[in-house]
Amino acid sequence: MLRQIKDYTKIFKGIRLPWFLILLVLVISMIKSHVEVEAITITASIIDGTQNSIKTDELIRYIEFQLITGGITIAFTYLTGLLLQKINLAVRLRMWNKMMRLPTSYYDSDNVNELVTRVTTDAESAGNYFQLLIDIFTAVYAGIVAYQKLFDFQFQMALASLLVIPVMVFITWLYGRLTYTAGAAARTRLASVMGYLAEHVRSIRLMKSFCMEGEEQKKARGLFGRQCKADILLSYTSMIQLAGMEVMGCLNIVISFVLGSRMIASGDLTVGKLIGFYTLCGLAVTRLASLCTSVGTFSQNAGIMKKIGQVLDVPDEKEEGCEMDVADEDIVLDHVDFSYQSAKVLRDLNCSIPKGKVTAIVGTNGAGKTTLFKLLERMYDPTEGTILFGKRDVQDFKLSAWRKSFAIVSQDKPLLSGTVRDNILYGVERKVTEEELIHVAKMANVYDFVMDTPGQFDAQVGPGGSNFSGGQQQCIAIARAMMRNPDYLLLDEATSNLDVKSEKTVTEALSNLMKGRTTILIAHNYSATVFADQVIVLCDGQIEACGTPEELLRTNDYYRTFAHQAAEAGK
Amino acid sequence: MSKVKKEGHKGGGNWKDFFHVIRKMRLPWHWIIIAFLCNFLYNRVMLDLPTVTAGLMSGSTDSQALVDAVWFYVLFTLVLCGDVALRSPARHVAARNIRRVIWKKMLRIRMDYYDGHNPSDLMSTMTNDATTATEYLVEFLVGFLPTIYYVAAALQTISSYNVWLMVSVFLLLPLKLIYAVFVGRWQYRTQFGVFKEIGSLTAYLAERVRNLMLIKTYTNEERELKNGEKTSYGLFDANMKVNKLNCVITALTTLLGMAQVMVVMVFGVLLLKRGDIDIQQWVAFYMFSGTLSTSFSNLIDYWMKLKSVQGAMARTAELLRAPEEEEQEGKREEKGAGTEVCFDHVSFSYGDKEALKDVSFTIPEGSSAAVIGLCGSGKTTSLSLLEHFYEPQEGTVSLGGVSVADIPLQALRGRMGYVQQGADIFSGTVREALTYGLHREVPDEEIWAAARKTGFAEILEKWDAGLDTPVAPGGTSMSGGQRQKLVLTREFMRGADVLLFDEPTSALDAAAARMVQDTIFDTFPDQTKIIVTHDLSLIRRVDQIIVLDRGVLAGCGSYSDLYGKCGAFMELIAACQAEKEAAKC
Repeated sequence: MLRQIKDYTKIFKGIRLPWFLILLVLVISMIKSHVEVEAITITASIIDGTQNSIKTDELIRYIEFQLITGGITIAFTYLTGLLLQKINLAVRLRMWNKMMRLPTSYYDSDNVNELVTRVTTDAESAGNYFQLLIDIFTAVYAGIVAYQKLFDFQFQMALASLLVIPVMVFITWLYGRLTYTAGAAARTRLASVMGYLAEHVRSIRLMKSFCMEGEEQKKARGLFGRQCKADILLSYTSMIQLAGMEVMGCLNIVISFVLGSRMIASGDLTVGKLIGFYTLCGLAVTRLASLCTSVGTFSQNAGIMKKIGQVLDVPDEKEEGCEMDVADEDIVLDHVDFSYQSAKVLRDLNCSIPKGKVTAIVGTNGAGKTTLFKLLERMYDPTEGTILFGKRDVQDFKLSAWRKSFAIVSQDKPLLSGTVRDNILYGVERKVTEEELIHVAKMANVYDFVMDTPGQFDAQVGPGGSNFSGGQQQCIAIARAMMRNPDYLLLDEATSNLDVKSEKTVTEALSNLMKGRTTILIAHNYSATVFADQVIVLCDGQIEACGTPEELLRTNDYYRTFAHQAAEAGK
Repeated sequence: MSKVKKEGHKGGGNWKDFFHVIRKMRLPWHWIIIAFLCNFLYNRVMLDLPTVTAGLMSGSTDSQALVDAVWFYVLFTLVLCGDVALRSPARHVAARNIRRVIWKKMLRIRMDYYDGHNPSDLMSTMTNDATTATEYLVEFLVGFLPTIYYVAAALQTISSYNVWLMVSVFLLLPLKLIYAVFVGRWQYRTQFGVFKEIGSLTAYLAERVRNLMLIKTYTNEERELKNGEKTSYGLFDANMKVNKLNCVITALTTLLGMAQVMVVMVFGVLLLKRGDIDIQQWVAFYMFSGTLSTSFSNLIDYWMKLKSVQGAMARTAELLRAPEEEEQEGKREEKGAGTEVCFDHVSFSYGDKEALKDVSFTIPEGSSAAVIGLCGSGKTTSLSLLEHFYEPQEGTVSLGGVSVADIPLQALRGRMGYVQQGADIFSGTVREALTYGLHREVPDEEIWAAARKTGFAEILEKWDAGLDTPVAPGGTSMSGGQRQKLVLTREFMRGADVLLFDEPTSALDAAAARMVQDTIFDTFPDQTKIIVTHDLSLIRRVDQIIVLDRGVLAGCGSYSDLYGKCGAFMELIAACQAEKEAAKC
């Protein structure tokens, strides 16, 4: 547990915790425990009193106390809520900050959806975790206060009531263990049901085509059945807690009333005090039970804290270096190797990408073309070898400055939800006039269809750009790249997955974009390579050939087949 | 379709829908009855609880009372556990049944329903809504009557002590009702709004995290940092709204609880003083007043939940009423029917959107045809009509001279193979993926033989686990070419007479596309093949080309028939002009 606490405090390093608020919450929770105990004492004396006559002053005191208790409860609810949210906010901001500075390689190793959870739900758990610490403190304090009062009431009986503690610890421990196991089983079942449904619901047509309705129904039936069983089992564990609480209630009664009746008979105790003792006993036990639950939850949730801690431990991307205030230069790859996890993706690349020219890269799927782009953008660093900008190592330049001189248009054209304008102006730091926007939109073949869309530049693109067709999304992405006015342009199969007509529009837009820029493109069709000044054939992570298209047609087999296919298609 | 949507948006729902769903959902009545009896017993025992406890509390100290009390508590514990234990199967089994019913229905709904309703959305809202609704319903069935019994019996017991005590219980009842109904509703509405807000803010953060690469490329970290901060503060405010709401509710509950205690105290003490009740009755009354207010709010809760069940049931009813693919009696497959595919003056529209207009063509048995055209010209629709996913508004689609509407669906689809662009593969093992839809046990030798035929065997041999190699969801663990080969092997084993290809090569690079193309023609030489494609290299290999232009048949014939004669065809060819010229140099 100590290690868990250490894990935990690590997360809060660098966060300004609302210490004053924490103190306030602690003080209020302490007052609350006292007031609760006091209220029981008053009730006891009222009950004693009513046997003879009503004392109005006691009733009034009771009402006052109730009002105070209410007030404190409200304040407590509000302040703990505020504290929880403040801590959530702080952790979330810290995570968000970290996300922006993580090296890109981190996104590949960790599942992206997992990272999403880090900022959304996990940040929330961090706050809850803090709340748990407070809960533990409160439970301990309230437990002590309650038992102290018990001893005040009647020493021997209080001593006897301590017997309940081991029973309770055992029950809570058992309950914790069982819920943990049953809960994990139920979650696994739920996950498998959700996984099955998510995968199959998208392919209803396929199942129908294959006449698999019957079989799939049977499969789902089994999955639902198992999920149901796991859920039932989980709900049975709560029975243990209920039964346990009742058993403790019984023990309470036995201890209070067996001993109590003797004391009353001997005149050592009043009925009111007996009832007070009984109620107080119940309160003390509840406090202790909540302590056990909190401790249990604490260790169960430690996993989440660890995950957050791991993300925070990853070193940031370097941000030192000089500005890119130099003239364009050739980019030279000098014996560049790159391994991804343990697999070698790129091997001993040597080539030069001349400034102001068009370089095309061709090669089979998985040859490492996209990885090469990532190296050029400095999303990854080469495992060995260097990338040079003219004569200087690219590592010398400031990362943000380097990336600012690049723009990429890729096959999967990611648009962010927001308006068309937001997307085109994405990452532009200066003020852009309406004329400039329209000019760029026209150059990128965006203008016409945007004008036809209701809302025009302020039309929403929808999640992932889904309000527009594939070709239109690509044109918006091109406008975005154009707005950035980069010196170096990376095109990653920008026209694949489009039908012939949209391909034409996109190609037009691209050629506008390429004017006057150093362009490196990954080509999936021959036509795109014909106009290149240089073609690089990448095969299994190695450069197989490099030269002008004409040279390669004569010397390289792969390039020749590539051209041949296109010729056959076009005939 | 738009009419259906409108009805769906009306929300609310009526009792007719409600009972319709209840009839269909197969509630586990035996579990419900058992749980009902248990709950009834629990409430019965609860009735005695105040009297027994009051006996202890009022200071009667003889040991018999104590022993009785302990026995009573043991009984109470048993009944309580029984109630909890048996209520849970009723709830979960009911939820399981509704999931099964919905999934069964979703597998059988006609495809055109899914054009207006995204199946993923349907699935998540339906399963979540419907299962919660079912659980509420079961809770209602199990708990409503026993609770009413408890309230009635408790009131009777109290009035047996003294009639005025009962009156005092009703004193606060109107206040409580107002609280439960109005505050409950207000709380629901506010929380609903806030949760929606929280949902959209969370979605925003999630989208940014998914696109971190883009943010980095565009070096927009600083601004996104600010945006993220703004969003996080938005989340903070929304959560604080919930927090404040909780405070108000705590305040109201505390006030009500206090009023309750006051009434009990004042009335009780007055009557106690007059000697109308004794101390034991007073303590019992004190306890009853607590449990009674819980029961009252439970009753209101049951009712309000039932109302929300009604809304969810209306949406479920809509789904359950969706048209199913009909399997009419009397349809008989004609033995040895041919595989000639014929479209005879077929028109079809999705709602108001016309997809095909008066299209006629014939694809002779054993020949191959390519369907080409721009996006939205109706290519995929024609395949869907052939598989009888849709019913044409006019004209007939026939296979082997028999209208597809007259062939049983199982037989019709069993005769067709279907390969699409994304190569649909479910997660599991390669063996499972290869034998999907075969409806029988297949020996490994047969799989290997088929794999050798398509060339998939070469890939398989490279994998250590062979046929037991795991496949990731969507087949993402394989390359596009490997996936298509796997799917072609699967089709080969199914032995379909008619093969439908929906852009089989468009997601592949040139080399892989070429390989898949060859496999298609080598593996299925004698089957009727219909290929929807953008890939013009394919069209030179087919016997017939069908050109669709915005739903109208623009041309039909061989490459040489169409070349130079069909405008739409030439336009498509011209779009590849650059490619062609490039090839010449």
